[in-house]
Amino acid sequence: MMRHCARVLPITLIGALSLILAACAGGSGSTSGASGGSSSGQVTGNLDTVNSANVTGMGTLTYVIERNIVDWNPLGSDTLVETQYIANAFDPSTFTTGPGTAQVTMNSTLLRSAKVISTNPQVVVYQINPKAVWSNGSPITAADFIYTWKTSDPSICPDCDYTTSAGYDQVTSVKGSDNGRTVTVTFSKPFADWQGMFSPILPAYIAKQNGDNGTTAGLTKSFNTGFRYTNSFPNWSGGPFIMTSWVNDQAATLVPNPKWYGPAVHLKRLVFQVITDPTDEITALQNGEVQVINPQPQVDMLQSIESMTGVHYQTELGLQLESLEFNLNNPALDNAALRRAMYTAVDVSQMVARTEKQIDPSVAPLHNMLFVPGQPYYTDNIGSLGSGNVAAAKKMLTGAGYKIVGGKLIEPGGKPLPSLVMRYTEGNAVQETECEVFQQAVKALGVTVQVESTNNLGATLTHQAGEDYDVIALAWFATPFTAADFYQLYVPKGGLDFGNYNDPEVTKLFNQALQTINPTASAALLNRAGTLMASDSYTMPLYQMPSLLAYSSKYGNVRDNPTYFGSTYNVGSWGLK
Amino acid sequence: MAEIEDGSLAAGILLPASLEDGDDAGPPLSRQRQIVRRFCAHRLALAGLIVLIALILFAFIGEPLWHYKFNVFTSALAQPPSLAHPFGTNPAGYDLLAEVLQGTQRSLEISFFVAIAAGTVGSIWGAVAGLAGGITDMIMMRIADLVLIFPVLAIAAALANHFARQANSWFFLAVILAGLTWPYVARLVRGVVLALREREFVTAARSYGASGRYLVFRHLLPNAIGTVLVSTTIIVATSILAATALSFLGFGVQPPDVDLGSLVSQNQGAIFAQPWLFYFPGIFIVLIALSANFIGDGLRDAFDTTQSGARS
Amino acid sequence: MRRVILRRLIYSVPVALIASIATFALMSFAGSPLSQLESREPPPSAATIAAAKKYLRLNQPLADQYWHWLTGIFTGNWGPSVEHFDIGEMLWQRLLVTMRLVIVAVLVAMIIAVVVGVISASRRYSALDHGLSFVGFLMLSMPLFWFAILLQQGAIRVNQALGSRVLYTQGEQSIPLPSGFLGATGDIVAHLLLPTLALSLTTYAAWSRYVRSSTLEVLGADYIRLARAKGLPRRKILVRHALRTALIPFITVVGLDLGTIFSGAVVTETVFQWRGMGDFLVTAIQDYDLYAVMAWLMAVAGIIIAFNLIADLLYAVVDPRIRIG
Repeated sequence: MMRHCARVLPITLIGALSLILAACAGGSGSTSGASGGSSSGQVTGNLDTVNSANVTGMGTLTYVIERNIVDWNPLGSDTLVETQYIANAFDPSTFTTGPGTAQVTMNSTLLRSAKVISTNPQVVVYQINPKAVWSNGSPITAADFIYTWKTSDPSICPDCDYTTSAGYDQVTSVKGSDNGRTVTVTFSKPFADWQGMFSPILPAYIAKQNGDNGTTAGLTKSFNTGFRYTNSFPNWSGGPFIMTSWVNDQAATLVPNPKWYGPAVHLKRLVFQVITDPTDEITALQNGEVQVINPQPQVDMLQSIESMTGVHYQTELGLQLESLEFNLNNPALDNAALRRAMYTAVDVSQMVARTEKQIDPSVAPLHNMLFVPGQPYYTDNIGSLGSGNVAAAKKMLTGAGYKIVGGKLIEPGGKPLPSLVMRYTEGNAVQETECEVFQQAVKALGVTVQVESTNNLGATLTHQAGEDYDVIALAWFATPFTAADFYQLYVPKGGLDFGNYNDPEVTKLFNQALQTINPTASAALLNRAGTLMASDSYTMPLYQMPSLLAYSSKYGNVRDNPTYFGSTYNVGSWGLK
Repeated sequence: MAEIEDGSLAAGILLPASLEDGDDAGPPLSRQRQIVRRFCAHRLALAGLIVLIALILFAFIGEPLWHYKFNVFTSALAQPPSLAHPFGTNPAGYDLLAEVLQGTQRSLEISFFVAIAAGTVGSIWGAVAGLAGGITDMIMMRIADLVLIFPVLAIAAALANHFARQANSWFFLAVILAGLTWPYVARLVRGVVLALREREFVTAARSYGASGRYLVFRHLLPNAIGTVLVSTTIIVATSILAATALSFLGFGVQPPDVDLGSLVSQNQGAIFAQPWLFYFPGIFIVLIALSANFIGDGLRDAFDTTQSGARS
Repeated sequence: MRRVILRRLIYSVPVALIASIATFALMSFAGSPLSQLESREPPPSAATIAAAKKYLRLNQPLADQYWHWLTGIFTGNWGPSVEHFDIGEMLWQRLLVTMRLVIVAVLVAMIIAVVVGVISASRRYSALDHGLSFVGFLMLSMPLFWFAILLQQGAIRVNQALGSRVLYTQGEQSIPLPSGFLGATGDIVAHLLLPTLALSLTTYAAWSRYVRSSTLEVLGADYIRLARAKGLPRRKILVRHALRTALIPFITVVGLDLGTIFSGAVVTETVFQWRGMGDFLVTAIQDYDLYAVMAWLMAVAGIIIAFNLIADLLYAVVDPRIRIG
């Protein structure tokens, strides 16, 4: 009976094998990787001027955003960076940051000047360009500044859902004069990072249409609901473009603002399209269906972008940082020596090599708690954290009374250390690798770490049951206003102190820095705080996340801006070369 | 019409296949040997069986033996296939062969669990319904219809999103899929049972007082075994496609665990620069599903003639 | 005819209703719609959470919630959504997008299935038959998402070879849509090509096997033998007599597979970034948006029931044997 079977040749097997081999050969043929050719490849140079060009004509351009817009209010609490990217086209800011990491530039189309005219009390005077008007023709005046201040000041509008009140809560008055073209802002206490305020401003006349009637309830309604635009979109403008349509989860279309008071624009249509999948962004760019993408860089992306023709790209290290943070609510993590040992055992250069170094070879581990290389006050103050020195880590532990018995870490009290839960944001492959490197590093210390993803970062950060963490991989978009920025994370009342970190000395230093106008003195205070924080080992900075901007080489003035404002900070000057 | 109501999944199975011709030289063989002979004569089915067994060995014996593990870093980052790493490595430094071994294990576990669970539950359900007849039959089959009224992916995704988030998510995923697949088998088996019910051997058995349970297990199921085996095998194929689709969408197997679908999902960006990361997991999905489909086809051919010439 | 309609409705509507009760209950236990809100950073005030609870009807007992939802449907109110949009309106727009894909893909798959099935049947056991059968099995075993991504890659190569963008890999239309009827239609068709290919090529295989078997069965029937004996040309026999009888039940088979096709559409839309029902469902599930998911399920069930009804009617129209009963 089996004779029949024995005669059978598994032709299918051979067929399948040849299929595999053909697929392999066919696939790798796509990586020609020719980096020659003047119209392709990486663009480097001075961040502020790279790809400067005289642009002409009226082109059209589609820019990809990776997430849907749920809140159109750039100052709202659940607003994503994407809202600001689009807002750059129609909502004026007094100062913009970037592209260099230390760069803060005054918006010279909106303002004639912005100066601190006295320091005790601190008074800032803005001179608005007399030509500056909103799209309904009415001038941009102090009224807009007043509305912006009131809705971000918790003492005036406690129910307003703002992102940050930094600075606004120290404003005693905002007065307009000279037909509202001069704005005088008085502070109760000095606030060093005043340039970060009023960026952007909100139009008071629209606020009135949305319910602002002078009362607190009116302020709240217009800010929380009105500017959120759940079922419509902002169809006003004080910038070079104005929005004419928005299809939820699909695209926003903008055209030149007829009332624009600055230099002429060279795009007759600007579309922001939502593409949530990074691979689809690449395909769309390759197929010419979009012209600019600014994706969260993934390792395999770079080679595909390099092999495209007619596409330029920049990778820059900016102010997007990756770090690890402990949750000090867990009593097992109460011991600074334990935390310091764990951070010391991790080799951050390994993390970098397995992830971002393959995108941008210049990515390197950070050695300062608060500053990044490129900022003038960057100095090495984290000691052995992140060095991967397991022997030193073990010494720290034994010195603090811990023991490693049979591959498990025993606390000074005699009990074994419970296993720790480490979380990263679901879908973020880079963070996943960070967690896995950490997990394998601390294994040598006898610590067991369970790595899990969270699809609800907010729930994790607020310690909801079932989503809580002991260690977390966190991405943070910093601003050049270092003191105000990190104050939120490391001071108990800062608002974003997720892990319940509380070092009174550090808090004191941050508060002092916030009030110190002299940047060198302020930075010195911050670096002292940084040294203390390194010893506390609550958080460990990992590295700067490179940003990746890829765009069709036909367009000029498109350049990467690895800060909160994004590459659309100068969208009014984009056009065909 | 009754046959068609049983679902087009069945349509390819229940309707008579082309008969293989010309092997009736020699003495009449016993039924079992006949089935095996017919199966072996179906070349693709045989090849499929070999491939599937090879895959099972590859996954369950290869994985512990291979010196790299799917969750341990190696020092080779983003390397194309080589002698040291036959399937290459990914940018983080994981060996792809190790990942595919682990993923194949997972996917096979899921699809075999779903097939066996759905096959068992569905067969018994269908047989009982077919035998009982009347109101019981109607209620039981309406319940089966209920489960099938919504697209499987939608319900599975919604349930898996909540219930299959923890470690060992693959098991809950398999349970969910099995719970949504058994009605197909139930319908099929009921159809076969209805046809068999009127046969003489059942009347004869009833006449000497055989109970329902006895009839089901001793007479009907053995005769329906062909249908059950074929549909169970086909479910191995459909369930691996369903499970990997769910993992691809993010609702199936959760990291740090891997299955072939999640490997395709996490490597889809690599198709330009490191295509091996994308192709290998997908090819394995095709191999598993294809071999299961061929085996099912072979079984269908092998069992078919005995249905029409029934002997208990 | 009326009896056919009535019978179908009496059969399927109660089943859909009971299914909706079971699903509603199941979904309510499968995650809280409040989790998105509660987890915002900084946490929203207790008043905001209470307001959301009221809006999402979470204060009512489950049975009340269900009744409220069910009666709401008849007035066009599909319930509150976690994302605060109008579920009915959003679903309708997404439906139009997806039905484009589903209808075209089903038609294409049916045509391929008929052609392949009939050719295989009429050239039984030939090399062509075996070849087509093998390809069919391959497509039957193909994971849709993997195949769709391969098609995208292939499209890019084709576009490069042709030097112009003929095939689109993203979305269901360009933004903005080209003006003019021809321009707009051409754009939509160009975006429809790849997703349709992906969905129909992975669907036709099971159907083609059915058509093949069905045709073979009919070809072996007595009246066909008679036609052959009468000397009728082969092609005429095939098309005039065999096909009609073989194909009538085919539509019913397609109807039974509609659920799988919608599942396939969800995956296809995800890969090609279409803003259709698939994207709607995936987002709704991720958000634990109970009412959105329920609306999706009911809409799809409704379409499937309607299709099967039409199939039954067609069956009755075409086959005189069952018309009277």
